[in-house]
This record gives sequence, C-alpha cells and structure tokens, in this order.
Amino acid sequence: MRRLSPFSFILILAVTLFLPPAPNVQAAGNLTQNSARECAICHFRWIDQFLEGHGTALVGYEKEDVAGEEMICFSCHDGSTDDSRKKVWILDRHKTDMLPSDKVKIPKMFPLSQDGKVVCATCHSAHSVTTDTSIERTIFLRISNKDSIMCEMCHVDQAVQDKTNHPTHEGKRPIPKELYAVGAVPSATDTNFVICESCHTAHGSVERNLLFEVKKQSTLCTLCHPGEYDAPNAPVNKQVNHPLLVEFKQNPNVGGVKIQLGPNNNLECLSCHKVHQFPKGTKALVKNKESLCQLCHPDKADRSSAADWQKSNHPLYVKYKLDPASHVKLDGGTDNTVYCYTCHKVHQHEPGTKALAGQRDSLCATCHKGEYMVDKTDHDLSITAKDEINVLKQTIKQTGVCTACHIPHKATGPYLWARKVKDPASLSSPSKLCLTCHNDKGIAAKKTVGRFTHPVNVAMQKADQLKDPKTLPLYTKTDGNEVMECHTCHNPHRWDSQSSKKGKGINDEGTPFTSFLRKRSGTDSSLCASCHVEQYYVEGTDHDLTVTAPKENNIAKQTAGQSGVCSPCHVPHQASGPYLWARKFDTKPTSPSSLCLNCHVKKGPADKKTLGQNTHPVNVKIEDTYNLSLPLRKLSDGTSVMECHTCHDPHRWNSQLSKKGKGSNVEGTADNSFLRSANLEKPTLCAKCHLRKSFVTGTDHDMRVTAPTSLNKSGKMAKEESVCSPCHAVHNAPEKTLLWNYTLDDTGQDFIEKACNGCHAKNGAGKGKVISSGIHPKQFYFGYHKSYRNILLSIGPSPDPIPLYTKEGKKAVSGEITCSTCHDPHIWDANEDTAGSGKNIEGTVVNSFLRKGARNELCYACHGIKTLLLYRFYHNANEKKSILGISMPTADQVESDTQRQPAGEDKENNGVK
Amino acid sequence: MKLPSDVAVDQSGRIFILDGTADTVRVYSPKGEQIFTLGGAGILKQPLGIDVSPGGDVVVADSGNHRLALFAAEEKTPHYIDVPSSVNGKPSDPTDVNFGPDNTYIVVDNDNHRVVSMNRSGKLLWSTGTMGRNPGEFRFPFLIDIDRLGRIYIVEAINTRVQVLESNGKFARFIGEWGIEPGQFFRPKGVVVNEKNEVFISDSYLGVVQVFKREGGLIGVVGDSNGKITKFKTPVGMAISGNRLYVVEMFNNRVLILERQGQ
Repeated sequence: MRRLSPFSFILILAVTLFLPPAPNVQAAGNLTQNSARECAICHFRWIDQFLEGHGTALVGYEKEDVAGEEMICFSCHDGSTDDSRKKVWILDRHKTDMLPSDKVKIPKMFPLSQDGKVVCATCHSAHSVTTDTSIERTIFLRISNKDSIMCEMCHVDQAVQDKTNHPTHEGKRPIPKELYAVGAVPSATDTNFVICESCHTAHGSVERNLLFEVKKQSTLCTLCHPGEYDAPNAPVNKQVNHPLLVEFKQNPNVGGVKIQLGPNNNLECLSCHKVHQFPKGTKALVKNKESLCQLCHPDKADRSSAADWQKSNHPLYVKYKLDPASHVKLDGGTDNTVYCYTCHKVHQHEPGTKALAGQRDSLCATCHKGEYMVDKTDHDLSITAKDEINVLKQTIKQTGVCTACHIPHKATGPYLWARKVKDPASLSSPSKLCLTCHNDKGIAAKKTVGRFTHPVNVAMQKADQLKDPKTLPLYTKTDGNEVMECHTCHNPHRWDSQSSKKGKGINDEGTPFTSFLRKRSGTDSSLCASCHVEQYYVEGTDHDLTVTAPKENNIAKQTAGQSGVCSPCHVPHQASGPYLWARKFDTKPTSPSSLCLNCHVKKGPADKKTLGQNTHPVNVKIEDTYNLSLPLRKLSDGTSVMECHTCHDPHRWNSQLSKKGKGSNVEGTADNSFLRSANLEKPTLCAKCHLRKSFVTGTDHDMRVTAPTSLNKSGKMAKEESVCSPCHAVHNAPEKTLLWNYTLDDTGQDFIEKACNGCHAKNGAGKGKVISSGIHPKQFYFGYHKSYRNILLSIGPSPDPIPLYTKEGKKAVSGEITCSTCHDPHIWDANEDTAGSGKNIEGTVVNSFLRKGARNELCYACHGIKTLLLYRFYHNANEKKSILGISMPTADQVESDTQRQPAGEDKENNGVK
Repeated sequence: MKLPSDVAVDQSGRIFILDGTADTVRVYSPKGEQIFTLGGAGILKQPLGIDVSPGGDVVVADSGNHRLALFAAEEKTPHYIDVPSSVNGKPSDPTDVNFGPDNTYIVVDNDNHRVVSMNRSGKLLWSTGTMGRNPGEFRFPFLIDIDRLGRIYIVEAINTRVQVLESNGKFARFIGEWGIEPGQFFRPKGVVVNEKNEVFISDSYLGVVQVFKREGGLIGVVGDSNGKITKFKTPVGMAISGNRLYVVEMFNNRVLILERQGQ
C-alpha cells in the first residue's frame, strides 16, 4: 500500500494574483457540442494543446497518455464524483506504479503503463464489458470478473488447483454473511463456492495480501473455519484450539522460516498456515507438520544425543504400536511414528488440556497401556498422596495419574520426571528417582528401604545371571555395563504382575505377590530365583526352615511357610543387618559369621548344630588369596579373612549337586553339609588351605587305609569319614589344639607326643607302630650346649622347615623337639609332595613321614658324624646304645625330667652348663 | 490527517480542517496548534464539506451518513439534519454545505446532481438541478460557497465549471469552462468568495487556484511575488479570512495558508 505522508502543517505563502496570457474565455454553455472533451476528461493527453505539441500557462506539455494513472483516477475518486479516498488510498490496495513481479503473468488484454508498470487502467477501464450485475463493477473493470476469473488470469500460481493453494470454485457451506458485509463478492456459479474475492479485495483491505478485515472475530479464516478458533473470552477449560492473537515473543525468523505475525506481533492463522503455494502434502502449512511445531516450541523437543529415557522431553520420531482397542486415535503419519501432532491436536483438541488429542491419562495409556495399570494402585498418588503437586504445581486431580510423576516436556530428570529435584545431578541412576519419594521425608516415608537393603547399581557379571532381561530390565550405564536397579525387580506401574487389573483404589499393604514386583516373590521363587539361581538350591535342605524350623519367625514376624524359603534369613528391604539379614540380633554382628551364629547357638533354631568350644577358627587372615577359590571377607585394610562362608555355602547342601534338598532334615557328611567342596573321598575343601596336609590321603596315616574301623572321639568310624576326621574335628573338637579328635595318650611328654602316642599305642589305630624308644630329651646333656633356636636360625628358612613345639603342641622357635619336629604326619615322603598310594607301606629312613633335612641339619648340628646311625636307629634303643656308648633315657625318665622343668621354658637361658 | 477535503475559518481565526477519512474535524489555533476535534467514528462517515457560521457553529456535510452534522458553537455533540433522498429515491450524497441566508443550509447533493436549501429543522425549502450540462443542471457538483449577497457558487467537477445561483436557487451564470488555459478548468474542486466578490477556484489536477470576478471574468492565477504561478498538489477546499487564503492540499495531507500581497 502506498503510504501517505503525515500531515505537515500549514505553510504561509505570499500570494499575488497575476493574469497570464490567455485566450478569451467564455462561460460554458451546452457542452455536448464538445464531444472530444468527454474523452479528454480521462485522456488528458488528448487535449488539443498537447496534440498540437505544447502546454499552457497553467500546465506543461503532457506527452504521455496518463488516462489510467493514479492521479487521473484520484482526481475524480477524491469525493468529487466518488469517494474512494479511504478504500483505495488509505487502506491497502492492489499495488500500482510498480513493475509486475515474476509471480504473476499478465495477459496482454491488461495494459501496463508506457514504462511497463501496473496502473489503475491495467484492470480498470471506462470502456469495460457489461456482463456484471453490479454497475460499479461493470463500469470500471476491463473484463468480467465473474468468479474472480480476472484475478486468476494474472495470479496463476495462486489459483492453480494442485493442492498447493486454498481450494476455489468449490465449497459446500455458504460463505458467511460477515464476509459479504465487508465486501466479499459471491460466486456467480454457486454462492457456496469460494473465489478469490471471498477473501480478497483489490481495494480497501486493512490486512496484508488484500484480505478483508473482519473485526468481529479478528481473523478472516475463522469465519469459514469457526471450529479452528476459540473465542477470546472462552474459558481455558473450554478452549479446543491453539491460541491465536497472543503475542509471539520470540524471534520470528526460525528454522529458515519467517513466522508471519499479525498486529502487535500476535499469532494468527497465517503464522502456521499458508493459503497459497504451501508445501504439497501439508494441510496448508508453512512447513511440513512433522517439524512445524518446533519452530515456535523448540524447547519441547529434545535434540540431545541422550537416550530416549534420559531426555527431558518425550522422544520424537520413534515408532509406536497402537492398541487397536484404544478409543483415542493417534496420528502417527503413515508409519506410526511419534510426532508432535501424535499427542497434540492444534485444532479441536481435548478441552482443558494442553492441546492434547485426548484426556491426559487416556492419551498416555494409548501407547503406555502397561504403565497405566498404575491407576488406583499405591503409586496412583490420588490414592496415597492426593494433595501432592508436581513440578508444574499441578495436583493429581488437575492432571491425572501419570502427570504426578511424569511430564512430557521439560522434565526435571530422566523418565520425564515430574517431581521437583533440587539437584538434577543427583539423579545419577534410575533408582534415585524412586528414592525421591521413598525417603524419610518423602511422600513414601512409610515405605523406605532402610539401611540394609538389596543393593542396586550391581553389575550383572555373568551373562546368564539374569535369565529373562525382558521381564527384569537392567540399566545400561554409560560405560556399557548393565546393572540392576530398583526397576529391575519392581515395575512401578503394576501392582500385581499376575493380574491384568488395575489397583483396588485403596492404599493397599503389599505382599510378596504384589508390591509392584515384576515377578512373584516369597513362597514363589520366581523373582529372587531369576538372579539367585544357586541360592535357591537351599530349598528342601536343612537351611530351609520349612524343613528344620517351620515355626521360626523372621523380623517381619512371618514364618518360612508364610513368606517363602528366603524370608527366614533375608528380606530385600529394611533388613536387620548385612546380607539383608531377616533375624534379630542380640548383639551387633561383627562379621558374616555372626549371621551363622545367629541360628547356630544354644536355644537358636539350629541349636543342634552348634560349633562347640573348639572349632575351626574364623576371622583368620589368609595370606595367599590368589589361588584360593573360596570366598573370603575383605577387610578395610585390604586383607582378607576366612569366615564360615569360606567353607560353607549356606544355600547349597551338596556342592556336587545342582539341585535342591530332599525336603527332610538330613544328617550331613563331609560330602555335603553345605560345604563348598566335597571333602569325603578326598579332602578337596581342606586342601584349599591345607594343601600339603591333604597329601596324607592314601598314606599310612590315612586311617581309611590302615585302620578303617578305628573310631575317633566323636565315635565316627574312619572308613565312613574324610581322611582328616580320624584326627581332627572342624567343629565341636574335643581338643582345641589341632582340633584333635583322637585319644590322647598319657605317656607323651607334650601334646604332640600324647597325640601321636594316642594312636601309636597298643590299642590304638597305629598299634603296629608303637614307639618303644626315641623320646628326645627335653634337657641338654651329654655336652650338647647349643640351643635349638640357634641351630634353627643357622639352618635358615626352608620350604620344609623343621619345627619345634611347645608343650601345648603349638609351633614355636622356642619350642622343643617332639615327634613332629622330625615327622610331618601328613607327608609320607618328603621328597614327593603327593598323596599316598592307598596301601599300607612299610617305611624307610627316606619316607616314613620324616621331614626333609631333619637329619642333615637339625640332628647333625649336635650329633655330628654320629647322626647317620642315630637317625637310622632313632627308635631302636639297643642300636643307639652301641652307637653312643651310653644308655638312652627311657620315656619314663624323660617324662620325669620334663615335669621338673616348666614346658616351653627357654633352654637357651636356662640350659645346663 | 489523511486526505483532508475542506477547510473553514471562524471569526476568531480558528481553522477547521475536515479530516474526513478519519471522520473527524480537526480544529487548530491561528498559530497552527491543534485545539480539539469534533466528530469521530460513529458520528461522521467520510464527510467532505464544512462551514463555520459567524456565530461559531460548525456544519459538516456528512456524505456517508446522508446528513448534516451541526456542532453548535463550542459544543461537541452534534445535531443531525438528514438530507432527503432525491425524488427517485436515491439517497442523498451531501458533499458540501454552507450556512445560507435566513438560517438556511445550502447543500450540494453530489450523486443526485442537485443543490438543496433546507431550514435549520431540516425542512427542504427548495431543490434545483438534475444531471446535465445546461444551466440549472449539474454533473457532480462538489463544493460550494456563498457570497455576501447570498449568491451560491457551485463547483461542478465533471462539467468543469462553477455554476452561480441566486439565493433562491435560480441560475445566474457560469464561471469558467473546460480546458487548460487560464480561466479554464480540468478538475475544479473548491471555491471561495471573498469580501471583494473575488471568486477563488481550485483545480486539483492542474494544481492551480484561479481568481475570477463575480461576473465571471478571470482576474488571475495565484502565484508568488515573482509572478510565478503557485503549483499546488491536489488543491481542493478553500477558505478566506482577511487577506489569508487557506488551501487544502488533499494528496499532501495538509492545508496551505497564503497571505495576499498588494491588491
């Protein structure tokens, strides 16, 4: 539109009147005689003077035909014949005095000015056709504009019906009266038809593009499309269309598109729509609808490379599968893909929603059917925390079930989290979301997990550790490791994994069958056994309290029969101690073994299986852990100690069998009894720590070989027990020393001799090898003045050290010579670290359980060259006499001497001079 | 203002400019300061002509509403006087009005090619003219003025002349004729008669104001002291007060005030 200059106020000019040369003028009379004048009224150029080639005193020579130019038209349309001032010169009008753009094609019948510009006469002529019904239109248009055909002759691209322009020459509804009121021209063919002049006017527009101004509804489009626009005063909960006539505060140049705005930068229909030459396949939109919304709402789309579940906005461009039974029909294009318009409808959306295609919950449930089973469960906050608000300060009543925890845009954390989060960085794992409610101050304060709870962020080390990852989803960390989280066991949206029903609508107390567990738990092993397969071998064993202590209650006051085989010892949350312990402690547990002793004590449920006073120690530091395939407890200082569970797997009765127990209270053997390795035929378990001692197997000290019917002090027969058991008892041993489990003989000078003699006695298992001589003196005599300690130190370290023993049978460098100084009762041949042959073999001086180096190093230090013979005949009194020339003291004499001097006394300091 | 059409000056020198496209009369002090406005949307509808009485009353020919709007002196609420339709029922198109003698209004009815006289009550006193070129006939009469003796000067835009009527509506004479020479008109628009019975007639396309004797003889063309004709851009309505000539330049959206030098 040509802009008129603003009013510039009054100029004061000097004026004089002068009379220029002029012909005699006469008063006008009957003007019909001057017919050329009638033409020259418009055809100024045709005035005689100009035709003669000159001007006058009043006006210069006019050489151009200006009949169709603006000022000629204005000279009549200024109100003197017709008042078009406002319609043509003030309001918008078809452009004139400009070269036609390449967007139009102007037929030759519409003349341009001499210099090729569009002028009034391009369309108008006083010599027009007479076909129009309106006299005004008939007079001035060059051809009939019936059905706006004249407009279309130039504006070809805007009129072509190839689905890139608003349809014309068709229509089923009457053109609204409001349009006629502002100047719309009806179609001559059918008054329902839309034509150019239904919306446009060549003169008198106040809108861009020569559109009619419709003040009542502010926007022209809505007259024909009333359903696409809400009245400005419509209450929010009644609005069903994208807001219009609201100020657009962003930069309108976005994404290669300039968003068209109306007055005051207000949104209008044409901000999104194009009436002409819009992209094919769109609903008259300025851009394809898959990305149009994001021009103005870039913050509603998360373009980050984060995984979908970590995005702060609902993911876009992902495929979805629509439930055919859903009553909400989503628009996912031809390929069922999530776009903005899948959930949102710009027009005719659900009232009172944020332009949603359905009511909030129903809409979410259309794709997230499984998740919507949360409805009316304890995780439906309308049941458990109805006054709670989300980060948008919306209540459940306002927004529905889903929005209490999830919002589709601008979430505070992963999974489109909707709850206020003080520090987003704290949501480093999915489980942290759960803890935003399930904490001491949260809305689920009554359902916290406690100090001792099943761990999360636990890497699943074995590929098959979780057998059904689809049912029990893991969380893949940024380093690629898969770990379990709360949601691995719990489905926060489904109260009962076996039920296809929603919740009851009450705050329900959960059971192992419900409680949002993905599988049933408790008496049903489905859930726990998904990971803890091997632990479930405990079922039917003596550690299954339904077998051995069916009345025993755990801290939840439930029996094993009520809450399952795991429950007597373990609960997943709010446990009383480590290992999710489910029993009360009288004293604070200090080690894993404390848990075992929680039952294996007097008056405990396992009071028949206590350890006794003399039992294999625990909390023993293990130096060489590298080759030890048994579990240890690692201490804070980095060292490792053995515990009960080092030898015992409390969940597996028989390590050789991958199956559950028999369901009856069974007396154990060395092959089962929850031992991590079978120990009966071969001492494979004991050997893991006591390897060299296990070489006793099959030697003459394997009572199963040499005295199979012998009984230990526990009354067990050698042939029915492990190789160790004739001499040692792991628990309930009669003797603390060496956990000795055989008869001690009174004739020995110290514990070792008593132990050896207990067997090597007339009635003992080793009755064939009774020692008649060879008790080494405890006191120094015969001039031997060297202390054993110095001798041992001079020998130096050895892989097969020569030990001394205290009277109590403990190894000590300050000890004395006893049986085990020369003999290793577990090694038949010191030169061969192997088990025995399984046959009773007669020994020689190179085997017979003799220690390597005892002769050459220890004995030689005192006995010198006599050592060879003395060693050979150590247990032969007569031979030794002939060798030494002296009588050796008898065992009784030695015993008498020993009693006179305290055992273990340092001979170095108290030696006889 | 946008495309003003007419101007009037009261006895105190206040200037009343008819900004008809804004449906408003803008009133300025003699120094050019806007004092107040009259009319507005809903009161006026694209009016074209205005006059001010010696008593300060303002009358507007409101063509869009087919009526006159009378603003009594210092009043802003108008009194309306309908201009009757023609005998064949065509609505009136009052493009200008003047306070006539004996409390009458002399009104130009442009579309009906006539001039009517009405009393203050709106009663039609007389009507003269039909479409035509002969004396007493009009083709698109537009603006008018009345001299001291009540003679009526009517500009005919298409007949390119000023037709003078006696105060009772009888034809008196023509002033000017078709043409582009001095004393001729191509698009005459405005007319004003001064105390000396000099008749100033504007030509909007030629851009000049010519001055005639009451009897029709050309006196001259408005120009500057150097004898150069003053060219206006679409001069339309005019007014005279003392030795000042007020000319509306419609297309320039302004009013020029010219002060006469000499006789």
